[in-house]
Amino acid sequence: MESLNNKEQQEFQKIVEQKQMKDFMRLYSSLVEKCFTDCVEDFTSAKLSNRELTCISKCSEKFLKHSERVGQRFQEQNALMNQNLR
Amino acid sequence: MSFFVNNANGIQHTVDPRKIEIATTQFEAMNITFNGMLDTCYNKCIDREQYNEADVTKGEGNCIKRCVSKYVYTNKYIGTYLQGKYYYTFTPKSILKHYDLYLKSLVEKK
Repeated sequence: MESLNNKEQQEFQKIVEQKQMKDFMRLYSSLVEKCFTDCVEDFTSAKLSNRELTCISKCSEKFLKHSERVGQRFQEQNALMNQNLR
Repeated sequence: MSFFVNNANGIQHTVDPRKIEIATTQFEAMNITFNGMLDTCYNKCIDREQYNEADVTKGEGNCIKRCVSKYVYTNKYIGTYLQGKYYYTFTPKSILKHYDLYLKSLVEKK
């Protein structure tokens, strides 16, 4: 890819930051959807039970740690690929 | 300035792109949440084995009401829970690290 000049770089950075914000929102909403689907089964009540809340806490934490792990491994793979290209 | 250029009230409307951006972000957050809820509560509450009736049954209606209530609560709860526990790591920058890494690699290439 052709390298960007300073002005282009700034412009590109702004675009990436907006995308990051949007992606974060999407990630959050998919996290809510996953944990709700997996943890909430009872619809005889409109309030979350303690059991459901415990499950949601663990589910959301697990998702966070999972995304951390994937990011870490992705970084490692990328570094490896860059090394092999050189 | 010409008399004809100003509008009747003499108010000049300008567009602040930053405000539009914030409003867009808020709108999208609401929109994404609604779409997630729509799918999830359908799967939880609607009898998908047999479509005997075109109407939402009484039982399904009750389920939807509670499902939406629980979904909204879950949405708030997860946010508060993760923010409280992982104050520094639950941000776009720390969860989506590959964005910054990519930007950094662009600068280094130069």
